[in-house]
Amino acid sequence: MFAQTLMRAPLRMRLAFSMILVIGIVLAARLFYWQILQWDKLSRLAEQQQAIDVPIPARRGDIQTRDGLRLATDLFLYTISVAPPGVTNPEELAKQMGPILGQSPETILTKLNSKEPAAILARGVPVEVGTAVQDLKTRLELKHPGLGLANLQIEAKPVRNYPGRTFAAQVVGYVNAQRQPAYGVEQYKDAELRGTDGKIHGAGNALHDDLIPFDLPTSEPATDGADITLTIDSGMQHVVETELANAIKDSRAASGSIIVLDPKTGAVLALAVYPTADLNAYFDPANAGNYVNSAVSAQYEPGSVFKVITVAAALDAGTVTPASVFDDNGWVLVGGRELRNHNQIAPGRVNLTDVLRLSLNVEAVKMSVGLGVGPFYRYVRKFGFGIPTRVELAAEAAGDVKSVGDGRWRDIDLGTNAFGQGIAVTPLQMTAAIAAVANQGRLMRPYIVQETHYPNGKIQKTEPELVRQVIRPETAQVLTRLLADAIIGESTNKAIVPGYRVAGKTGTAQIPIFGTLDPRWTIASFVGYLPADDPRFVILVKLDKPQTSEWGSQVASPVFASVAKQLVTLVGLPPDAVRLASK
Amino acid sequence: MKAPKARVPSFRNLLSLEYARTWLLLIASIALLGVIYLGQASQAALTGQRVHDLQEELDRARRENAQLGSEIAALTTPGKIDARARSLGLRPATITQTRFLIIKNYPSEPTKLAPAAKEQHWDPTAARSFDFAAEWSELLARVGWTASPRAAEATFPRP
Repeated sequence: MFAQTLMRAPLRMRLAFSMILVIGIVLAARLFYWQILQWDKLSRLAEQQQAIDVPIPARRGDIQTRDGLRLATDLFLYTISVAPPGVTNPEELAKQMGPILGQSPETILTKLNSKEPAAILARGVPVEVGTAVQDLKTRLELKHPGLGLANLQIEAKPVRNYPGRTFAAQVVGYVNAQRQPAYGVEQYKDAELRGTDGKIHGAGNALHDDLIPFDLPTSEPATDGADITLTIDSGMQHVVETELANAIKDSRAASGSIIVLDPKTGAVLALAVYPTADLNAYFDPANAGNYVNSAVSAQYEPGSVFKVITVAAALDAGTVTPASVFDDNGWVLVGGRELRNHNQIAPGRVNLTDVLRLSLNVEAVKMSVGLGVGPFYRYVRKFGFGIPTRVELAAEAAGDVKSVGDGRWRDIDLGTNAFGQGIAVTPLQMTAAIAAVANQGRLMRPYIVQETHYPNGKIQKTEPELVRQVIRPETAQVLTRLLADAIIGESTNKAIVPGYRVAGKTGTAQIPIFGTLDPRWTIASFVGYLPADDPRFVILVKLDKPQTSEWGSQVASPVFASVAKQLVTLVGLPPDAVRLASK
Repeated sequence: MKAPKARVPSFRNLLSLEYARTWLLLIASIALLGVIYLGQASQAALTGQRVHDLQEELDRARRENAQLGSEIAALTTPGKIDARARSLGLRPATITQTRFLIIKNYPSEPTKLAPAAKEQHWDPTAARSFDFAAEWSELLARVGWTASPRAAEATFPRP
């Protein structure tokens, strides 16, 4: 019927209807094409144009001492910027922002009137300023659109902060502005500390600088880094840093380090290095090189301190006994070369205590020669020299122990190595080796990370690790007695701590330079432990190139005594008489 | 006799009043679906905004917390405490100033060093009290200016 009606209609009406019908069909076909056939492609295009990923920076884990003092943490600093062309009332905006940013309105106005597409109003401002600007934006954006607050960009970035500045600087290390770590625990434990950045995925505005909540955004949450607790005790660290600074000043030494270890566990209780620098000023060229932890990264020839190792080896192997006596005429021939005692002394008949008290090179050489090449170097390596200790600090050196047949070893080395020359060790290796003597012959792995707290709640504790039994407990006890007697017998030794029996050894090492030994400078050191019968601390003091005296007994021993006195007070360790009387 | 053909409504009949109710019902259903869809979309947008705002609030609180934590750490470094104590006229304790009490057969354990920091759980609802004397003693003990609380009073045997 409709068709009949149409056929009877005038031609113009039929034409008009046909045109409308055709247009309708074309429109429907195009709609079908774009809405149905091209739907996938257009959706993807829209997604690409609209989607933005707002990064969620992960918080890098904190580093703290065993007693909770925070040494490294992340702070958020804000950068405030604006697009000046979008600001139609710069004077008012400058007036509002001035007090918040701590700048004069004129300064801000100059930036707002610039022709640049973007102007930075403030950079690196703390969180209270950033949130104040955010609050201002939220409060006034809709009320005063002319202020151009919609153009205000507030960007927060995490920045590493070191509240203690120079405190335990070489232990902690630093992270630079690009979040790259350098030195210390920051570098060694970067994988645990770093965390994983997250992102919020959603639709953004035309400037791609803000999320438009058209839909529920999807997000990948950031995974924060693990927090690390060190074995460092802040009180002890303060003591050693103060004493080291005073010692450097008093002796006019070029540099130095002090290490305190718990001999029973290997935990590093304190570690100070001089020179030092503020970790927050890593970018200052004047501080370059001051963050190197010379206690683990730099090796040196230990000198007479190494005689402890030689005597330990000889006693343990049985080539000498506690009752052995020696005839020391002041020189000995090794590898065709003559080796002498310091100051050319020839004490005559001596016992083991005298060997240590007088620090006789000749008797040490006789012990190493008596042991033989194989056993001597076997003991040296058993004490941990020549390989890294695996402490959790970056850039640890292995030291240098020549081996027979490596092309560098000469016969003379068997002699010189016995008194700590011609062999290179790190201060930490030396301390750990002496700690083995203090710990009944058991060498413990030094460690500085006590616990790692992961964001998922898991806590990984570092357990003390026994590396090996180096010498028998009986040997260690005998050697401890000898070392303690040697200190008491040495009238010039200043390592005595009243009320406590100390076992230890001084060292005055010459510094190798261009194939010979520097005649001017020495490395003065003392390493000891107390109380001798039940050691709680092993303390190494090392001063490089002291000017007031070259001798370890003069410049390093008093520092040891001063540190030890303060440490026993700090932990309330009673004097030996009191402690033993209560047993 | 043939069965009568089913009556198919013509186009004109579809527009008549008889079918107006059907049309109204159809239009109302479509409108209702549209309202429900738009409502859900709006709700999703609102919820998205709320999530966004809450996340910003959380981030802000965390950042402020980190700033405060850093300030506390800077103020409680042993060097600062040392300087502050000296300015108040205090001086470091020495072992000779510590008196020990000898108790025979006292069950002794190895001298413990400072315990590892316990995990702090922040309870915003917990009432806070601040014991100044205890806090100050603890800070001074950290740098050895007072004997550790673990040291017992004793008679110090004279050498």
